Amino acid sequence: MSLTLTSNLPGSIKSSGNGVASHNSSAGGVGSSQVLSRPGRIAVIGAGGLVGARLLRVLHQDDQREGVGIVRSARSLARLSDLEIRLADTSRVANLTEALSGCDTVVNAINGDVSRILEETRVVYEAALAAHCRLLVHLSSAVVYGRVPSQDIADDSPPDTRNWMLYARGKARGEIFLRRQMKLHPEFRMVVLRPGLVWGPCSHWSGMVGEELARGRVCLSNGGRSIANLVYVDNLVRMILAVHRKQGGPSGFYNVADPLRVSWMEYYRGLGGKLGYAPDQVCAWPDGRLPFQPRLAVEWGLQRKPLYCFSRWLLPRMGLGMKAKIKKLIQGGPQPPERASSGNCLPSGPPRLNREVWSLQNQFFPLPAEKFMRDYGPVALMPLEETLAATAAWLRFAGFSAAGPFDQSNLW
Amino acid sequence: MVTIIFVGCGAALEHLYRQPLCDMERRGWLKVSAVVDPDTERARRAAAWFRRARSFPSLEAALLAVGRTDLVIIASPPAFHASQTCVAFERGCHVLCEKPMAHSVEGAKQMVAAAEKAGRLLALGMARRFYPSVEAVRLWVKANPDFPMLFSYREGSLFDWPVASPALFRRTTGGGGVLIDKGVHALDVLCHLFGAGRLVRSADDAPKGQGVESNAVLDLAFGSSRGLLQVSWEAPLNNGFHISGETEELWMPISPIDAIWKRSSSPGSAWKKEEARITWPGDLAEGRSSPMNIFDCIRLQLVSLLRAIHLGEPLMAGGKEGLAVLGLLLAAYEQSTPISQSWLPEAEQRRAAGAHWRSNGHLPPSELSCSVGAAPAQEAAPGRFH
Repeated sequence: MSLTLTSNLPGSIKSSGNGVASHNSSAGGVGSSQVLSRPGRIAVIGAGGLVGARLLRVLHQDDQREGVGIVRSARSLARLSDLEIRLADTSRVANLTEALSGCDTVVNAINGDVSRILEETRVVYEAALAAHCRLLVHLSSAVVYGRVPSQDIADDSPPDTRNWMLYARGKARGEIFLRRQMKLHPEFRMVVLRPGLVWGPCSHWSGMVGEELARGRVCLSNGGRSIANLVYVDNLVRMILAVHRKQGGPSGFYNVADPLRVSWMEYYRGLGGKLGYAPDQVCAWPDGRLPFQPRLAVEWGLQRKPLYCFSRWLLPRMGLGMKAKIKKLIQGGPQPPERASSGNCLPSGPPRLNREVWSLQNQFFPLPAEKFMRDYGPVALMPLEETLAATAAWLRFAGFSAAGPFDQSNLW
Repeated sequence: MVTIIFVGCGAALEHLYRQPLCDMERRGWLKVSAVVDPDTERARRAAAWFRRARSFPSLEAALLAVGRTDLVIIASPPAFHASQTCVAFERGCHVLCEKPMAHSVEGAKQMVAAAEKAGRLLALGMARRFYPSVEAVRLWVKANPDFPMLFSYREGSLFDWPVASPALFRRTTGGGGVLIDKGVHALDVLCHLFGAGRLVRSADDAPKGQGVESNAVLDLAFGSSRGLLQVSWEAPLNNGFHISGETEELWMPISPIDAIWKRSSSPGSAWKKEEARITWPGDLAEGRSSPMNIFDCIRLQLVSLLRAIHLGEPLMAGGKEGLAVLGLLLAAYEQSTPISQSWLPEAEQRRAAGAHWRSNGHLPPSELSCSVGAAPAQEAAPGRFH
């Protein structure tokens, strides 16, 4: 059964017993997948995530296009309560097809159970076809290339299906599935975008910087010299919309990134400087050593699909006390905020990073992203200075300014 | 043995109350005789968790069918709290009402009046008062009563509570957003620590229509102490409760709940972790226990209520405390301005401010404003703010 929540019906949730989504928005009602899709109507699957929510918010303000958010559970509505949202099961083609009705474009921004990426990619693809959509924009990830082993990696290079991360293997297999479908159904337009780390307001990869700076514990691996393959969330949204805008654009696979590549040190210092932290509060260890910690073994184990699935089954059945102990083992205990002046640049040893962050901080080649601009450009992307300023403004709002936790300067 | 009807078979029952209620039922301290939910399938499923519980679509039907009932626990959407509480009191039951106390001050006052008229207990679900860390901070604040303190209380994360329906995200049923969800707990902790409070100003990002806020910021004064409360459903903030006193600073994480950190206010001093080993009555006899997590606190809250019923001991949080928190909460909504979102492009900031639910002028204030239960307003340490 799929549910529709519309903003113009106070408190109303429409559902139908036969799995047919009923929709009462003033934007146009539909009740079946046979209804012709409307140009400019974009379904965003995974609208509760960072990219999905931002895309939907931008579409909400767009005079030419409309966005319809699709989420799996009611909890995703927390940040989308004023927008048109449909609840649908992304593991069932028929159910998702109903939810896609009336949309001409589908953006797959699902970011959930990493063991089901391939299955969900298949379901989204089949539902998009069944709902007569004209375009599928699938968000894959630059992680399909692992640590970018050389400069010769091109947009059409085959992905690495043996990566240590379950997420990366899932994304790689999803891409292989879509590549096959592109050959079988060339008439259906599919664009696969491979963003690197999506940063900006509300992003984990930016909150992490604020958190580490506020706790006085920034220590980058490899002298902070390696490449941070970043893409600012609004830049990614602009690229998705550029794909939608260009009617008849080619299907294909595209790496997407910010216009200016930065190192991890430049990223941390750029944000830190705007938050009031001195450059020497971003410390670095000269080489890429990763000291053994028990959590690395846990992390490694959880990248095996059976163990990952077992942990997902076990977690809801586990007491909060046990959960807290495991979280402490993996993430470490909480740390109070430090005064900005207490930072120092003399780390006593290699940083005790988790394997994912360590892997990202040991990447020396940027992914080429020129093909996207050739096929879909020009796209006006926000420059680094502007994106740093916006992200720092959000980090100050979240309380990570060097002025300390009592600072209210960015709140009112 | 206390017989109980549980109203609202959503996530609060499944994830918070189920385990302690089952445990207490096994010990023979109570009996869950009925569960109530308009979703009959959900109610039937919840009834199966308990030994002899039956399911009903309404509280009235349950009260009629099950006979003598000592306690009604209300965990339905906030819009129903006042009416259901009054129905329970009319039938001579005690009530434990989950937060927030009610949808309106009028509703909350009706609840308090109904409790007084019936001579029954009205307990509020404010389990954080049982956190050892909160109690350690309260003792620290109590030891420094005269010095104006500066505080910041931040609690943010991507919303991850397994809600059973979207009711929480509609103003008509949820009453509000993150401020009613996380903010009520934080306001209760602040009132518990500092006493009566006053709202200085507030901001949120709720849109017009039925949507609710996912970010909220409150500037609050408690006597001569002042600070901010910030809550978010969108992303982690610089989470924790930070207080600066005369000679010492204190930091309390949101989790775990059994430790606080202290350091001297002088520059260069380091934080010292202190285990908070606070015990509360853990059973109906002499046993005491120190909670380690929210389950333990919910259990202790139920024990405290059972002891109040059996032994006449005072409640940790009752109607008066609930009214004080509700007054601050409603004042925050009444005086809400658009939150500053300076990270957005300028046009979007203007549009967001224009779409704010209060952008066409403030709605008429309710009968009681922020001064509910509050001391006369005082200006508090303004020179210490940025």
